Amino acid sequence: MLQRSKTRTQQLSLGRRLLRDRVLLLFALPGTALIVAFHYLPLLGNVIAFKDYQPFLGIGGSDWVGWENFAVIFNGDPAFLRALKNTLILTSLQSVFVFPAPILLALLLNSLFSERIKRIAQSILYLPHFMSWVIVVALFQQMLGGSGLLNNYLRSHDLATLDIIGNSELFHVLLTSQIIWKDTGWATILFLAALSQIDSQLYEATSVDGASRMKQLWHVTLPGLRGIIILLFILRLGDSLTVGFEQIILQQAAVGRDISEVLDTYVYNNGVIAGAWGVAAAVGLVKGIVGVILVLAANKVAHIFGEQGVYSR
Amino acid sequence: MPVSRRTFLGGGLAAAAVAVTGTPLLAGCASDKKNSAAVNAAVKLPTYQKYGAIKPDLPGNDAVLDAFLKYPANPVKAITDKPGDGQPISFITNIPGAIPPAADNNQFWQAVNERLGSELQISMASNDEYPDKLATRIAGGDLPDIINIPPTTVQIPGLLKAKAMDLTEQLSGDGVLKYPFLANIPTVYWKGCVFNGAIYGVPVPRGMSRTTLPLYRADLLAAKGIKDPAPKNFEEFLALAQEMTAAKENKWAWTKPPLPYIRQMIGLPNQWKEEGGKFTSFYEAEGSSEALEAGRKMVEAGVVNPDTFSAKASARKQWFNGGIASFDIDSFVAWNQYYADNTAGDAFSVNMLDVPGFDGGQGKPWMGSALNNVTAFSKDSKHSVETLLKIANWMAAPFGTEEYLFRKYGLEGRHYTLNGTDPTPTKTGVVETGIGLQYISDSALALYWAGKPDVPQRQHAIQEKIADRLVYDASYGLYSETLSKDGARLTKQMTDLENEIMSGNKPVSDWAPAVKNWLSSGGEKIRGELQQAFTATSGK
Amino acid sequence: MTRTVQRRLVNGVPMPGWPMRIFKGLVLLVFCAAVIVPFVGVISTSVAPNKQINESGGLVLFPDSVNFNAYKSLFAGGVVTQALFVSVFVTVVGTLLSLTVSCLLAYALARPGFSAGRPILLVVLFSMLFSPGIIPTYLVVKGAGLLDSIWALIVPTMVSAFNVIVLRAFFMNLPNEITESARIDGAGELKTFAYIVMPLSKAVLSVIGLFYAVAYWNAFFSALLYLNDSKLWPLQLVLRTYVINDTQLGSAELGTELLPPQASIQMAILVISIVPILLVYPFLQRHFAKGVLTGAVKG
Repeated sequence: MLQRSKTRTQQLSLGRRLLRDRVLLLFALPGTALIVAFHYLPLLGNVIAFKDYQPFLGIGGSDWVGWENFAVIFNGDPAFLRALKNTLILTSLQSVFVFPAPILLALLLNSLFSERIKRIAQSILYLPHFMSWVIVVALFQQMLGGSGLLNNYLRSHDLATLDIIGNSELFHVLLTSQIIWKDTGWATILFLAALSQIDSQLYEATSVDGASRMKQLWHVTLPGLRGIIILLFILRLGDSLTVGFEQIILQQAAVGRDISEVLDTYVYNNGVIAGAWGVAAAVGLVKGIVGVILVLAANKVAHIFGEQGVYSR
Repeated sequence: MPVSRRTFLGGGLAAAAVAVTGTPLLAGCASDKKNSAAVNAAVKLPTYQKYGAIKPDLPGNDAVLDAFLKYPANPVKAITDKPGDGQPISFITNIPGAIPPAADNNQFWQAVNERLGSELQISMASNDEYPDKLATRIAGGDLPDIINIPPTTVQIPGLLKAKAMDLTEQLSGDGVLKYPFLANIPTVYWKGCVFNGAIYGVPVPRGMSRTTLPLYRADLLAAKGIKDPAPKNFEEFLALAQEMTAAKENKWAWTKPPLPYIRQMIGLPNQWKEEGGKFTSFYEAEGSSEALEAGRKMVEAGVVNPDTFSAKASARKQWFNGGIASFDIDSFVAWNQYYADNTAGDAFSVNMLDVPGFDGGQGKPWMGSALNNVTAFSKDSKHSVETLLKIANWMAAPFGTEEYLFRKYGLEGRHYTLNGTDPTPTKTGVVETGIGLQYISDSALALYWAGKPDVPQRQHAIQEKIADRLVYDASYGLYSETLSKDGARLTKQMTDLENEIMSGNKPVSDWAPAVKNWLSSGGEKIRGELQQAFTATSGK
Repeated sequence: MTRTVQRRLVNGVPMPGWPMRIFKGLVLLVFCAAVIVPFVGVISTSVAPNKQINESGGLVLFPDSVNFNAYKSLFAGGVVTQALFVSVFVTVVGTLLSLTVSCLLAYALARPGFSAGRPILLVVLFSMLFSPGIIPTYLVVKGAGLLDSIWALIVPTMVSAFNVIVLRAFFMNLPNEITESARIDGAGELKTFAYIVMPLSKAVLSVIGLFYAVAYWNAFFSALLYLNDSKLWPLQLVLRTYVINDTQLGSAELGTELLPPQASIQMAILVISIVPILLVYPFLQRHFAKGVLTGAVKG
């Protein structure tokens, strides 16, 4: 079927093909128009990356400054390199620990036999997603901080206290755990949806062949999830330079910049706070370009391995 | 765009021309001047004429605020005419509390509209988000009539020149006397409203009420047998903190290391000091490392709550309120706030420490920052400048007047109940009155706490004690472009380092190189600009 | 249960052994406890007496007594109630519009052989990677005449590129033979979309619907920038001013001893903002917790 439509496609001129696809074009129109209007149109405003933008002067009235706004990231400032290093560490930690967590949890939930336990567990675990970072950070401090519930208990029972919050050595681990705590349950639902798409006849068929649970996991479940996992991973790569702004800026004072400065906080501390809109736009552009490169490359790699990726060849 | 007859007949000709053409026609007028210190100094500031109808119980002076033990009986109605022109007036502001009910559901707001004779349309944002909101409104070219401009706004002179009315003609010298309550704002506050050689706004004065010193829970100290603590030096101060700490019971004396206080003990400048035309910042001044070392020592000694660097400001307030901490460093405004938030019962009692010298003798307390914000009027406003100034005048009616009582407390019965002559707010009052009127303009604050005359008494006493030793920020009223553009970034860098040093993350020896870096990446430039501004003005 | 060579099958999957089941139970228990304990703290703090909250330093696990002052003061004055209506409207209407527009777009992009598919997909994809600044977006919203209108909370964020791409992936994952057979039966695109693809995609539709709903529910920044009249503000923006401003409800100049402490208010806010989602969730959860395809493929 696919083959046939492809050959036919090649025969028709573009105009005829568009005419043929008019219904699909109509389907795609409202969504595309909204993205263009509210995303690409304002993106034109990113010319302020090349200006000393002042809101009262307007985009047209602000002075051109060439590449000056980009200096903040390309000047080799050790503070920038430090931020880049922390970003890369955190993004690796997130890829290795945060990204797979909901997959594992979804598999775990999926393998439960009691529908009730499955639903109850899932309904509990998704709750933290609805807390803003302000609250999450405050809750962590109130539970685990130096004067939090845990340490107050330990102290009043003459036990050694645990230095968790505000401990710069544990900071990256703390950040990662906070994200896992907050979002794992929530992210699970997408994988559960994908799991529900798997035809249960496949399980029955393999079990007739006497396949063990591990084999079923390997031959039925994971292949069913593979597409969506790869897709999400590629999209995550596009966002690699974003590792969480609010979460970090809220906790920066406690551990210091050496360990906590990431690209977004760096831009904030060195641009946004001084009203330098141009700097923020410049860094946004660079991050976008890096994202595009990563997504395109990852998609290529996926194709090499015979996967769909985000879009086909 | 309709131009009312009144606008043309009034003094607002320039404003009308702007409204019609969108650009200022009158080239060469005051608003065309550069923002140099010399032209700014040439501006004749509004004449100060104290409003004499109200006698405080404990009078203040240049520095000390007037104190009232009771709200004056039969408050005078000081303004007879409605200041508004019948047309809606728009205003953009941050608000420090929760969002109040919208106008159609808020009897206080409706009453304000009624009394003003103009509907007040207020566009609000929380403190943190206000800069974004203001920036988008500026960029969108749709600024409201009245604009709250926080001092941290970037490039204020350029912004005001492009978007705000020049008020010099109306306010300079005796011109202000037409607006008696604006004239009741001391001259020093107007200094911060002068840019581009013209008066561009109305001040929201703070000064002494923002002076920040250690607040302590007098009741908790008394329970330990400590009355009227007055440590004579840092050692005694630290010992006092140690006495109020009982980590095993999860009690720590301090909510945070009181670095500004230690700096005042050492006698460091209040931001900037001027001596013979030379400016010195408190970062570079001699003794700044010692201050940090002392702060670090306090943290190390365990007299500061271990979560001090990660907790939110509200958590710190809670520690103080709940008695987990017995010391906090904050202002006179916060002192009142603590009474408002008190859950400890009638015994709850707060007082403030004087500043001793670090090694004995007397320390040098810092005067609080002069302005909360400058309020500007949009050039595009359809209202006459007189109307807007009359509104500001109304908002500045001082403590003791009927207008003040209404402005801060609302309507009797609904928003407050009278206890003798003291207004006690109701829940509705608290919810409905927080619409941000105090940022249009305000009188200098008065020391007062409904039903607790001992609070203003104590506040007045400590103010009198520190008044003649107060150290002022020498940079106030002097414009430095670098400070305006880059000050926030530079300051945050230093503040972060201060915290890292005090928490023990970094050695005190990191401070000196950081100061050097601060100087080379902007500090030196700021100094130069301030010195230049100072010399240009001191001759006048 | 006796262990036999052939293990019991449930839905074609063999039951695991006891050690495995205990291990899984433990993992779940630890995870759930890590969520439940702080949540008990949240709920307790929102109803605990003021004195206890302040003396505990912020979080209370076991309240001495229960009161609802925090909730009462939040609902006093009608601001929160009004905002709740706005939020419900924006969430319901927005989610329906978003789902419609996104599904149509994703369906078109999922159709093999759609001539404009690839360029449009790239347009969608790259929009995820570049974020426009808040000022240019404000100018566009202003130009579209949406300022001070409730639609400013819906229209600019109606399509999420991420959601479209995920939807498309799920649509493409549907067995080809189903849509093809429909087409052979003479069904047009609209019919295929509405009667074949949509019903088969209940799971992903509930998930993406939930994503959109939660995004609308949590959004506050667009309201802050685009709406000057606080009457139109959604719940999250109103509530956020309590959390962000970090001050009491009252002002310092007014004296009042009537109000619950900040911590209690914040926790009550959290509870108020989660409850609506809690109510809706079980209805949607049904759809992605269980498979839907079994019958369809057989037929």
